[in-house]
Amino acid sequence: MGKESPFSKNMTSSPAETYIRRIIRDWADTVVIPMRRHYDEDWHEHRLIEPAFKALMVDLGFQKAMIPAEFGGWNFGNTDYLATASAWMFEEVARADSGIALAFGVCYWPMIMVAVKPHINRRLCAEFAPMFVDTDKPVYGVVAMTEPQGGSDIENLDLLHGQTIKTTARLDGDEWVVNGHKLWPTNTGGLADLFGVVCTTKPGSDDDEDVAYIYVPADTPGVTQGNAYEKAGMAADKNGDVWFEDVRVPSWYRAHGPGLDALYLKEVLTLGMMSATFSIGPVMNVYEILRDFCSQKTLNGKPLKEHDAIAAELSEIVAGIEVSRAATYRLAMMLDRQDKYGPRWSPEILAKARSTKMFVADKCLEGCEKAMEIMGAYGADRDWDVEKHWRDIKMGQLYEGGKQLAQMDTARYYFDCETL
Amino acid sequence: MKEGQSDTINSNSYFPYPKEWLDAESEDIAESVRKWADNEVIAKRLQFREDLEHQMRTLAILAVDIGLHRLIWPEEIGGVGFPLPDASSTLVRAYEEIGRADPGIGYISAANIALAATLLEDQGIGGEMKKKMAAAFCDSEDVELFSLILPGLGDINAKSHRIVSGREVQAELQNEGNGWILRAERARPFNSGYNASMYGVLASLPEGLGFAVIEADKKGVERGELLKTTGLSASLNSDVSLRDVRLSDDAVAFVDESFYKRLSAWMRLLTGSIAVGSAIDVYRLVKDWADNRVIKGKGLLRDNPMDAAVLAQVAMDIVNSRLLIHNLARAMAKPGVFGIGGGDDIFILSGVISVRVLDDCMHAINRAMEMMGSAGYSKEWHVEKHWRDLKTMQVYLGGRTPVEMDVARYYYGSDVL
Ligand SMILES: Cc1cc2nc3c(=O)[nH]c(=O)nc-3n(C[C@H](O)[C@H](O)[C@H](O)COP(=O)(O)OP(=O)(O)OC[C@H]3O[C@@H](n4cnc5c(N)ncnc54)[C@H](O)[C@@H]3O)c2cc1C
Repeated sequence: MGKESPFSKNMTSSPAETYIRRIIRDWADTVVIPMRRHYDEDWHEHRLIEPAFKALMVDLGFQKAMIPAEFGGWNFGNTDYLATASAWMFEEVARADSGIALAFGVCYWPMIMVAVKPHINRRLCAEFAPMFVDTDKPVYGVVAMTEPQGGSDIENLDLLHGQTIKTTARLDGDEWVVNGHKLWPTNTGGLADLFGVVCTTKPGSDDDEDVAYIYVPADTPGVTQGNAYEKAGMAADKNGDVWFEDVRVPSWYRAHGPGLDALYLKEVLTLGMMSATFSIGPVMNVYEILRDFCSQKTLNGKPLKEHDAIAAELSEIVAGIEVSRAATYRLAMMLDRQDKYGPRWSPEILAKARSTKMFVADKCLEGCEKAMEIMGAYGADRDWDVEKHWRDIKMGQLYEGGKQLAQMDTARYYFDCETL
Repeated sequence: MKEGQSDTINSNSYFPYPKEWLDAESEDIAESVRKWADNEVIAKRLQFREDLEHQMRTLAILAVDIGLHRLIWPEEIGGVGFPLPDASSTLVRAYEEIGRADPGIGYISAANIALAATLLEDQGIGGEMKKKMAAAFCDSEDVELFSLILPGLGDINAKSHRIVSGREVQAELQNEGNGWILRAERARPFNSGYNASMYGVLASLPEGLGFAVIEADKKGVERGELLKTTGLSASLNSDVSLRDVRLSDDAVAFVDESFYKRLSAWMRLLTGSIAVGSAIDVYRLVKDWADNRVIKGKGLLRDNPMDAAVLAQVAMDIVNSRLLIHNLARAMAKPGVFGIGGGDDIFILSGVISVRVLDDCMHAINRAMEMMGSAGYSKEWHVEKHWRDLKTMQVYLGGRTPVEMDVARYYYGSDVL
């Protein structure tokens, strides 16, 4: 946060962080925060949300951030601070709106497979980087994993190795033919520009070699996006069904090939756990709102914050924020320093990433709930924005495989479980 | 995905309650409300979602056609004549059923019935006021909505007011000539501030407390803008200012703190019942969803011990909450044993039980929602509506801290607000 924030700086804080946070904060305070309480009604049209997103992604240029410098981007993917930088960017964006933060983060997500060292695929970067850098409109990236029968099993790569994936990729000459039905990917519902599609080349196989990650531009014939779903929160993120019917793309649109696609897909998952910041940013903003509220509202002539019982609750909220941030920035450091902590796709990192996100999602939601209770009826008002943050960050507990998958991935690593 | 279908599970045998505390007539009433819930609301959920007109139409069926809002009024003034406080268990069953359908409808109806029960039981309320209220509840073809303006945890305008049971009164009454002047600045009603036809206001007098009943169209009543809230969409709320509202003597009753305590206890009983009903409906939904959900590529999710444990928590929370809320009803029905309505014993017991019941039902719904993954988050499945509604109800009731202060005062003699 900016200089007024009482929260501890992360250990690797840098001038770049201060600078970028300030840019995002200006955008948040002027473009998003004054309008965000109207976002719920805008879930379908995105008349308000789209311009705010464009201001961030295009006008401020953030959609270039992960693309390697040689392809016109800011090169974050090619550095030792990708995860840490993602954490501060996402946290700042999420402070204003967690749905925008999710849409923003997911725009980078499909390109992680090919634009992040040490496995940059130069040909695919050259193919897709221009979409993100040479444009005056926001470009929506998508990772399409979840299917009607379930999302968690597809993410459960260490146990199931892609066995439940039903979306198929068949090689026909020098083209992949993709067929399948995906549900829920962020940035769909008609928005998507580029999909990273998780497929199987051999349905039912539990061999990592058969997991394929294939890029599909959204305007390829055979791709259909359904309408956006109506959800409890996260209006700025559109999710819908996506159908792939005999969709043909060049054979080199597969990210890396047999074995490696499954391996680096795990990195997509571990870096995806920086989504913990989608919960932290909102609850930091809840703190700001609560600080004002508890100073303004009095009980028996004293501001609420001066009542010991209320102060005790307030302290628990900020303790949750501090601990969540410490854990998340430490995770980011581990993801960044592969020389010290090993590759981002190892079971160790997966366990630590999942358990951190699980803990943070729970803690931040708890903080929001406490804030709502302290605020009484005002806690449920759209006018104070706290209930919005609460609805938005509930999602943090549900997606990316849900709590139970996080528990299994964690227990498997720490306790050498063999059958989970 | 999910159809907004009617219940097939008999939640009354799955989630037991002490049936011997309800007579056949009470069960008949519960059954009527149950049918109303299934046919008028649950079966039409996907069609109407949170459409206000539909909610008001269904409330009218419940309150007027089925006659729930007449239930506790004596027969001689147009009511059904269910005697108080014995009707507490009957009301619990009815409000469980309403909670299953739509906690928002339950909430506004509960505010009305809690007020009626308090007025009927409070000896300080004169016959004139009772008659006037009875007419509103029993004679009208429409639902007369009462909005309650009650003490709360402090004042957003940073003004100091009289403290009642650790809460600040939001309005003031002053005697003037042969009538009264009522004032409040941006008071936050408990329900329906935006569209109520009447307000029930607990206000401070120079000495003691007064309860005022005023028509919404009375000069000086100013409603603020419609507030958008996270849940309870049937309760259209707004802040309300009362600018020198002039009232005649018969619109004001002298009451004491016991009036607030009695009203709180009834409100807690009914909202607790709504919470239980809401959690029961969520149980049905998560069960429907879990019946065919496969996890780890093979085997039903419900057969996975970890998931089974989560599903079990949902059911356990409901079992406990239901028993607790029926116990509160029984305690309220037996003033000779558990203390009189409006007394500290019932006030504290209702606080303790309602905090627990709302926490546990909220916990059940949270766990069900998490279990269901993205289905839990989508509006189509309706779980998320119960989740929003219950959280809203919880915060409108004031949450845990004020009740903890009540309990500390009662059990330890703590000198706390
Ligand atoms: C706002 C939002 C954004 C999303 N964005 C994306 C996206 O960008 N891309 C995408 O592909 N998907 C996305 N999803 C989908 C999301 O990732 C899935 O919903 C999630 O992975 C859970 O899958 P599911 O809903 O199919 O539930 P299931 O997979 O059916 O899981 C149901 C339950 O089983 C539990 N469970 C999981 N694993 C195990 C196990 N091994 N043993 C026992 N129990 C287990 C889960 O915790 C969950 O409670 C999004 C969802 C939401 C709500």
